[in-house]
Amino acid sequence: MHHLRVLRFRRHPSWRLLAAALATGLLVAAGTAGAAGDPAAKPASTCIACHTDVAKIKAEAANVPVPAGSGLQAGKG
Amino acid sequence: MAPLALHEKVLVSREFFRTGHAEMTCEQCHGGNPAAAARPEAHKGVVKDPTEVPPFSEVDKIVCAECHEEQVKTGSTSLHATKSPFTKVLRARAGNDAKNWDSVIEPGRRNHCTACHSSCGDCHVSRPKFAKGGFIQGHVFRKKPDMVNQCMACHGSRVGDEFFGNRGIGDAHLAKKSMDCMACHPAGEMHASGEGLTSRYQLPQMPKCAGCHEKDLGKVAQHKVHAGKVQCQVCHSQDYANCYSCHTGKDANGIAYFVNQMETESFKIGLAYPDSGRSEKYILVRHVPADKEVFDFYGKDAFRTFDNVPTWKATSPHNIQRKTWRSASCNHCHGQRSLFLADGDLLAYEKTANRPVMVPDDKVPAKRKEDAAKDPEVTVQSAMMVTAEALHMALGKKAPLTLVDARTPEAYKKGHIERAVPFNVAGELRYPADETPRSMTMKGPEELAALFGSLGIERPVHVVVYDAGGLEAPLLAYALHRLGHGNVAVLDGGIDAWAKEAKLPLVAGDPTPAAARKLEAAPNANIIMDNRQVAEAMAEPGTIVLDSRSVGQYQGLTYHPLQVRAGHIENTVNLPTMGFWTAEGFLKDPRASAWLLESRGITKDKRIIVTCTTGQAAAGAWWALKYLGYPNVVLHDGSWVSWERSPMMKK
Repeated sequence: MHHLRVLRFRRHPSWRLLAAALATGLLVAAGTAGAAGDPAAKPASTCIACHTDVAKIKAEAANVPVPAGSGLQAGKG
Repeated sequence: MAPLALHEKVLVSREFFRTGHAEMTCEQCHGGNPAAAARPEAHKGVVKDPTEVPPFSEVDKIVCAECHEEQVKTGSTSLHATKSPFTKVLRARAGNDAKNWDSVIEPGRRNHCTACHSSCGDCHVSRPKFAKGGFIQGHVFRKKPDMVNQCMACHGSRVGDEFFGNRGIGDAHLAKKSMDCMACHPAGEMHASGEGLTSRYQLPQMPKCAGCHEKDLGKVAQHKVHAGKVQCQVCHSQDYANCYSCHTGKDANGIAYFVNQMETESFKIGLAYPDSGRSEKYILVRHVPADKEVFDFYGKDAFRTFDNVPTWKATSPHNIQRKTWRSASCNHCHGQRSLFLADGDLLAYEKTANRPVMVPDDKVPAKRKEDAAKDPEVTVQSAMMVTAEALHMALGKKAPLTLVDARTPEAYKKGHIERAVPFNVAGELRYPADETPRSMTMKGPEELAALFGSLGIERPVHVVVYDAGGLEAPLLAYALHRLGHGNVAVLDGGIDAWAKEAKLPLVAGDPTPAAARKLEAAPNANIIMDNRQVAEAMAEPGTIVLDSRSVGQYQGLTYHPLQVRAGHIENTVNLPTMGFWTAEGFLKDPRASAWLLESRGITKDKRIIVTCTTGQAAAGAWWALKYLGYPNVVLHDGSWVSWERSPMMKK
């Protein structure tokens, strides 16, 4: 399965960048990929830091304006 | 399906990082600036759904295509992605006027008719945008869509209600075999290109009943006679919803909405028409909500050639049962003119297009003399139900009755039947769910007697109860029986039967306080059981515990907000209350209901204990069974909400 993923990933446009990173050993330091299975190995990017932290995201969500809506748009087929 | 809280929608789970998709970084798919410290900067340039179908010339840009090239290639032109038949129908109805199309139809189409088109992500990672989005499993991609959160998010009202038994008794494929949507509609169909189709039934990958049931075709005599001529669903479906007169608009916040002016449960057989995609002669047809004025919000007279396309369209209701009232006897279809689409079923502006769908008198199969099937003999307790006209007459004669409005106080204030006193069933009849161990059980007889007495109800007075077509009225009426006050009737069809069908007047405003009376409680202990009594009774022969919730709830797929756990009590029989009531609040044909019960072995010689989630749906079933003359029907007080909080619940 992992082999298949790697094969597919090779088709990704960032493959060249990844290959270069692997070659220079930067991948381990940056932790941008190849960390599947170990969340702790992921970099503390803004995205992950916020989107995995319930308290943080709740606090941010409180500042996001949500239109009230009429309630009529919920009709479904 | 309750909407997700804002933070729930975008919370990424740890589980996601163990999946293959986590091998890519966030910005590879979503863009934005992961190095920024604050949300506004980080979100600059973010694409919320990178799987959204872009202009078709740029379909290669869908990020999923990097790895799932084949699926994206056809999927981007699939019916889910493009809703292309909708556009073709709109064009046929709009006439040949480019200005009309661009200024009126196209904005309406984009905002309403095809707004529910779905991207890869809408089926594989989040709830569809149409249902306000949100991850269903913390951004984990799922090969197989989630029936409740994804399929039913868009197909929840018509298909979902039929399938789960929120209307009718649900679908046997789910009830008996726990089959979900994908069991019949696999990826091959979902990803198939829909280019050039004018109906989804033309898709070669559409499921066929014979795909699984071919071997059954030769076994049943009726199959030999009807196969190829009559659509399977004609015999194996229950009644289904027909929608009329969709209107669209935008609210004060600029949010696009649509609303159907009328929905009604019925069953119509039509003839297969050109482009229907059906090969049988007799097919089921459903009225679609299309209306000449559907886009009046965008511009008047947009549909100049509206009558080019039928409004009664081929349908395959998702409420299949092996045995149905229709299949119980040949003559439940043969000779039943009202089941076959006739001129009288058509609105003035839809007659031409529906002509090929209509079944002329000489094409309605004649009644069969040799039909040996006997309908059950039913003697109903007619005093338990009252029609709007009969109530109007009784009120006109100043008959001594107390009329109770069982809807919310807000609904009462907006418009109620004159002389009605309000009673908030949801808030006043039962103890709150968090008041363990009394959770959702009915208040004690003395408390109830005081409440009802304050409405002016006293022993000899005839009481009529109405609601908005829900099950509040039967619950309130049951509560009066519980107090020993049996002189009570429910308004058939609720307030809509009074106001919309019978066109009788309503009055608005606050209630005039009723003169309080002293109602002596004479509790009828034979019609109520607590958890312990139900557990003991289940072991006794001749007792059936009938769970009257939807199939979805019974199977733990959907749940009531008051439920802590999803599921049902062991060794119960599931038969949804909506098998006896229409969604509009009318009791169904008593012959069909009696047949339904008998066909499930629920006979009058047995003690029937009805249960549900809170007791309300069970009260609906209790009322229907008593109406049909079942002598020994008992309600499980507090039902599942009480049961799951009690020691009866196996941990």
